[in-house]
Order: sequence, then C-alpha cells, then structure tokens
Amino acid sequence: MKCDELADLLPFYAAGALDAERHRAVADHVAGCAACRAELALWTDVGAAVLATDEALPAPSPAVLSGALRLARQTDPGLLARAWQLLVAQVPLVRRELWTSSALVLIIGWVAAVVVGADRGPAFVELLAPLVAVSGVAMIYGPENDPALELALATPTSPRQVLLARLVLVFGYDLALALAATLGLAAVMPTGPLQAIILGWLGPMTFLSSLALVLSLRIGASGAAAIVSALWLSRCLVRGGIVVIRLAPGWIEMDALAGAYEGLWANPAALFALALALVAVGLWLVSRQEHYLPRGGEIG
Amino acid sequence: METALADAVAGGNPDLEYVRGMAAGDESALRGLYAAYGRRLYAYALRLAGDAAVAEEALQDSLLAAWNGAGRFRGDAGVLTWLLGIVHHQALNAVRRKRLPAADLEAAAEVKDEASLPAERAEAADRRRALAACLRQLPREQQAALTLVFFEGLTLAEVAQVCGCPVGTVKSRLSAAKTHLRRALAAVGLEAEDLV
Repeated sequence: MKCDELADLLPFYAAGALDAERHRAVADHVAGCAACRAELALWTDVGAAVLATDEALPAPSPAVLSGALRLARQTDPGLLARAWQLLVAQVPLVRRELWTSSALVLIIGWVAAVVVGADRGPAFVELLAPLVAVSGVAMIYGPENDPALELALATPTSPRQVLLARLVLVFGYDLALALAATLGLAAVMPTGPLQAIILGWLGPMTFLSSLALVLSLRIGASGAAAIVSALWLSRCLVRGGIVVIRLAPGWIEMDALAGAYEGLWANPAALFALALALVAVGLWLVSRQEHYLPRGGEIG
Repeated sequence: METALADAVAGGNPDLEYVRGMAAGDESALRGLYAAYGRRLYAYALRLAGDAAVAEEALQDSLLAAWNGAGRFRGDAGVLTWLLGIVHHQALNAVRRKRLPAADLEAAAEVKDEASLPAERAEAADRRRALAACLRQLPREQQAALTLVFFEGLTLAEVAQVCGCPVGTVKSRLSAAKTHLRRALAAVGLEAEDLV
C-alpha cells in the first residue's frame, strides 16, 4: 500500500473503525514509514481531542424528549395514514414475481380476447381475472412465501393486520388489473354493458380469493391455488356445456342442477357474503396459528 | 433488504426493537432509543449547528422525524447511522432557518489563531488542549465529520451515508480538517512534527 492510498484510511485506523484486513495493512505500512507514522500520530491526537471535547459537551435539555413526544402525539398520522403505511410496508414483503406474473397473464388474456373478437372475448377476462387473483392471494402468507414473515410476526403489528394488509394489497392490485383489462377490451370492441362483465368476474374473484386465502393457511399456497382454480374451472366447464353433470338421472333434473350451480356463480351478492365470512375465518385462523410464536421482546 | 433486517433481529439487536416499537406507536421505544443515543445525536447536532438552542431544536425535530419514519426503516443501514442521517438533515435545515452562517468549507480556510492558545509554548500534555481549541475553529462540517469518525466511530461509508454525500467528499473534508489543524498548530508555534 502506498502512502497516498493510506492517507484516507488513517483517521479510521486511529478511530479503530477499519475491518481486520485493512487494519493489518495500515499497521504493516505504518511500522515501516516514518511519514505515515507522523500522520497517524496527528490523527490519534485529533481523535483524542475530539473525544475529550465531545464527551465534555453538556447533555441536551430534558425538554427535547418531552417536546418530541408531545409533537408525536399531536402529529399522530391517524388511522388511515397508519393503515396506508402498513400497506406500503408490505409491498417489498410480497413475492416480487407476483406483480409481474399477474399482469402478464391478464395482458395475454386481453390479447387473446381481442383476437377472438367481441363474441367470446369478454369471457377470457371473466375466466382469467379470478384465476390470477386466486394464485396471488394464495401466496400472500406463510413461511413458504415470505422469508421475513418471522420478523413481521416479531413486530407489534398483529398477524391479522399483516394478513389483511397483504390481502388488500394483492387483491386490490388484481382488481385494478382486471378492471384495466375490461376497460381495455371495451375500448377496442363492442362488449355490451360493462357493468355485467365486471360483475361477471368480480363476484367469483372475491369469493375464490377468500377461499384460497383460508385454504392457503391450512394446506399451503400451491394446494390452495390448485383446488380453488379447479373449482373455478369446473364452473366454466359446466357453463360451457363441456362437462354435463350426470348425477342420479331421473331423480334430479340435470339441467336444474347445472342451473343451480351456475346460479350461485352468477349471484354476486351471495358470493360477496361468502367471501366476507371466509375472510373472517382466515383472520381468526391466522391469529390462532401465530399465537404461540415468540413476540418482540423474547426474540434473540 | 428483508434479510438484513431479519438477520439483525435474529441477532437480538435491541435498537431494531426500538425502531419497530416506534413504528407501532410505542412511546417507551422512543424513550429507550433516546436514552441510548440522545447524547451522541446531540453532540453531532451541536457540531453542525454550533449553537446549543438550535442543536436542541434540531434534535427534537429529528426525534419526531424518526418517530414518523420508523415504519419505513428497512435495516439497510445501522440504526445509529440512520438517526445521525436524520440529525444531519434537520440540523442543516435548522441552521438555514435561523440564517446562521452556514458551514462553509472555503470561508474557513484561514483559521484564526488569536483564540487558539496562550503565547507560551504548550507542554506535551497541553497538545490536546491546543488541538481542542483549534477544533472549535474548524468549519462546522469538518467538525461534524471528525465527530462522526472519532466520537461516533463510523466507517467511511457510514459517514458518507449520514452526510448524504459521496465518500470522496468525506475524504476531502477530513483532509481539509487535518490541514487546518496542522496550520493552526503551526501558527501558535506547535509544529505538526511536535505532535509525533
């Protein structure tokens, strides 16, 4: 090491803030270089003088802390701002690929819808929007998805808040994507009433997402996503007449059964109610599951 | 990012517990953090502001900023580095608000010697006192840099982080401080060599 390279390191050497390797390099050089030894001696004295003067500084007035606390109470951001902070804090903790893959699937769906035309196009968005939300929501919670979950659980933010925040975040994102795809479709082709299309996917999307959430808490993300996706596909197959329900022919009218099944999916109010109930179950499950985990003070 | 924070918590870092507590609105966490670092933060604020009342105001604003920003702290930097960075920002703001003469590297190239030392030669034991007197004559940013290095014990990268400037700037501030100190010592008849 040359003297000029060393010059910048000397104050940190004198302060003991260098890593072992550089500390050794400086020590070796200084041992054989009188000029750098003189520099080091100056820095050592400067360091001692800084320490002596800074340690002799008066303590700040106690009013500093009490004043800060008073201001903190006055400027409490309020419930909404806290909720917003919690949401923002969750963004980096949700699996990153989720954002791009969800968008990608819906973009591909939109392109396919445009290609097949106004007749069957909206059905693509209707099919894909719930699927995207299901796979997203299934992944928002649990150690297999979130390396920082243990940490999140060690914070005073309750697991219920974390779960709810992530649900809002991911579901809100998928909702925005689906809306964008629907509006994007309406912009390029005559799709008929927008409200009907939106309600067509919104009900199933809400219900299936909350079902995926609850299942993911019990059986993990992939199992939940697979089961709920299969459930959704079964509806599409039955509705498309690809699979015809044949149960006890003659006893129950086949058409009636298929009609009742379809009726449930086409009833947004019922689906929203079911979704609410499922989210409540999910929140209860998560607070029960994480109850035994160490809390803040016991970590480390 | 998450890993840095996770590692620190797994390592039982009490500072992070304070920050998490503050993010959740726990006032005792702010008290704890202040008990641990209040004096050191004040020392830095005072070096930058050069005035006790302004330094206290800056420190109070810094505590409030830390309280409000705790939820966004991700653990990339150490807690002390993060706090010092806030103090740095608040202290410079306070200086601007009060229209105190800003710390100016160029203007302070000449260090006055009348306040430095009595005319009689300093004994070896007086060298530090001589240096301490010279230190107070340095531009504030240089004093602040020296405080970060010797009092706070930060690394070069951390000092740059606190000041929000490139490491090259930190190096030149330290180098300028050294030059000023040596010149001031020479002006009162204490050559740098005498310090060896």
